[in-house]
Amino acid sequence: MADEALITMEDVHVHFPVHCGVLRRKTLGVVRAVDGLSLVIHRGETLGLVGESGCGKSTAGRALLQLIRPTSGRVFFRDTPLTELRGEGLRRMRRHFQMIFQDPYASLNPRMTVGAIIAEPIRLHHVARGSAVQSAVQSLMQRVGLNPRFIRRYPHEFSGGQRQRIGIARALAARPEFLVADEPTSALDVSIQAQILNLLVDLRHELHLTYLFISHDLAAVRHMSDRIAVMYLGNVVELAPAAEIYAHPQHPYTQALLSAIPIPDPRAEQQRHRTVLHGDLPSPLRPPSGCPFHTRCPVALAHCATIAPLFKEYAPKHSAACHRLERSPA
Amino acid sequence: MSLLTVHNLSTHFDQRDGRVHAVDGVSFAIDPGETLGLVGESGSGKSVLNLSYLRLIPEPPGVISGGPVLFHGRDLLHLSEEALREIRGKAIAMIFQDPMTSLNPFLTVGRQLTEVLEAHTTLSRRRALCEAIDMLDRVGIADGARRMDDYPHQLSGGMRQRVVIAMALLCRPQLLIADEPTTALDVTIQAQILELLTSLQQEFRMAMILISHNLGIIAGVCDRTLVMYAGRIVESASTAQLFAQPTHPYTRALLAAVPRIDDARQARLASIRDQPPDLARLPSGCRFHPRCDLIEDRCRESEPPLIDVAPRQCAACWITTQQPTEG
Repeated sequence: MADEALITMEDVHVHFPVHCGVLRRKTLGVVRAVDGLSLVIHRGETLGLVGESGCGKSTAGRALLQLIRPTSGRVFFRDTPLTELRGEGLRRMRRHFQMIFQDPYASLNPRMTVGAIIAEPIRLHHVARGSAVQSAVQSLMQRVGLNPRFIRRYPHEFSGGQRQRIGIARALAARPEFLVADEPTSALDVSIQAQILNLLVDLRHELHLTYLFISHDLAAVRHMSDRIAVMYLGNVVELAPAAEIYAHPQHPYTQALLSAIPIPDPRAEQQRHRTVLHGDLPSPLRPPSGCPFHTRCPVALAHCATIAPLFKEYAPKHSAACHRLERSPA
Repeated sequence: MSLLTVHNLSTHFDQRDGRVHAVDGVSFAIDPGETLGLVGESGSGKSVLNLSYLRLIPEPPGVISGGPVLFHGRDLLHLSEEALREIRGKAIAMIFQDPMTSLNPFLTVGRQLTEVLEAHTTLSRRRALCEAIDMLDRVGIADGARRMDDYPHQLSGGMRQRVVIAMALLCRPQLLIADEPTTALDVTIQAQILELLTSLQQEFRMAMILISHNLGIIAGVCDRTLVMYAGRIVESASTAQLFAQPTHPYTRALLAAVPRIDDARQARLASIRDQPPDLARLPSGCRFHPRCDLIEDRCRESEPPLIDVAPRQCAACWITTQQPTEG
């Protein structure tokens, strides 16, 4: 597979002003949820986006889909600049990229039947009409492992795993090429999580889908992804092929994050060396100067506090943003 | 001698659509200083089990039966409310998943900490304050004296959980029950809290029951582990043994279903089909049989007992424990 860019994000910023006072007229500051993110997603790949809560990974996914309009920067779907489209033009593009949400309880309308939920994008994007809609819904239900007999049931009649299947069927209804899955299994139990991850893998191969897989669960991300981007305070600090990033993490944050993941094997757990990070994630309202990670970094240098490191390729297809790497090229 | 021994404890809830058997005939014991892991998926009864013998389940709708549950030779199920209050929060402390909901948003951190000491000790107000600040220091909150005047919303999630841990440890409990203590936290913060819990446990020589759905956490922290499914213990073993040689098909399936960061990527995870049973309409025989790959007729007919398969390891399965057919 040639590395054909399906999604290109160029220097995307998403800033949320924080107001205070009774009339919300005073501006306290700006939360830089996404701060100059550039990312390319190739056709047919799964890009994993990991990070802790508040790092901006969900906002990045939504800004990509134009569910939140970026404050600045550009997003392309193939050659189409999504950030320049409005109204009907953007709506017509939307059938190509859809989203699977984290919470299968909150993301389905409780007053609509499963059939109506899945049929809505089919009608909206004119994928099918008339009686063909019903059969399209049934085949989608079958495809995601739901019994088509349940077409008239309501979301509350399903378990969490089944609801997530409904969410996946809805996302597939418009026959998209690209899906953003935002923590699709975080609300599910271990045994159900495996079912949903397997379903996503199968669908990817059958329908030639491209995924942006957003999660805080590094093990699930490793299982799903071809390449992985690690985010910290609004930007990517390291990007590499999945196996490479786990075998040779370069950025100290990635190293700490990986060493913090518990492994379900007591022997492996005993032999591990764990880097425990001190302190909490800084407030994105007042991000640290220089390298955003320097306040928690176990190997910070003097100039890390003042000069932000550049995001550069240090090994083939392996990029990171850290001053330490500049001094000793890999 | 065991610190806490639970015999044949059951808890059910009578609801309009039937009787929900949340915990069904569970027995286990924990030694002083031991760390016992309790794993299971949501609805397996792991939280209700611990709430039951501390009598923190409202009755009705809950009904607790069986027993005895012996703590220092006293049956917790038949103690007066007053005697029980002496034990709860003092000899047995509990920390919960969400630190925001277990702290009172209207009280300062200092007030909530000293309240514990007021209820359980005769310390003066001044001494109680000193104790509280000292405990904040031990749980890794360095500027404890200043933090005493903060309200919970002024603290981060990790800091809040540290405050909750400080509250639980103020009376030097002999048993700490930690119910999913890191589930609401990020992985780097989770690593901090787990390290803190294990080091404090050694320092105070207390026993700990760690409830978690995360097999990785259990593997790293616990001496012995119980696996629960649909209200019953299906396997119990030393943690090393459980992960090296899981016996019950559910334990095996659970271990195979988790993606691991130290594994090369496999194409598919071994998932368990369907979902856990409705506790009001349990399947006949073995509760796991509708999802199990190894079933025989007797799995549908009668429930397998928990029997020894190795020293300190037992499992409840007709097939993998190779029990002769009854009769």
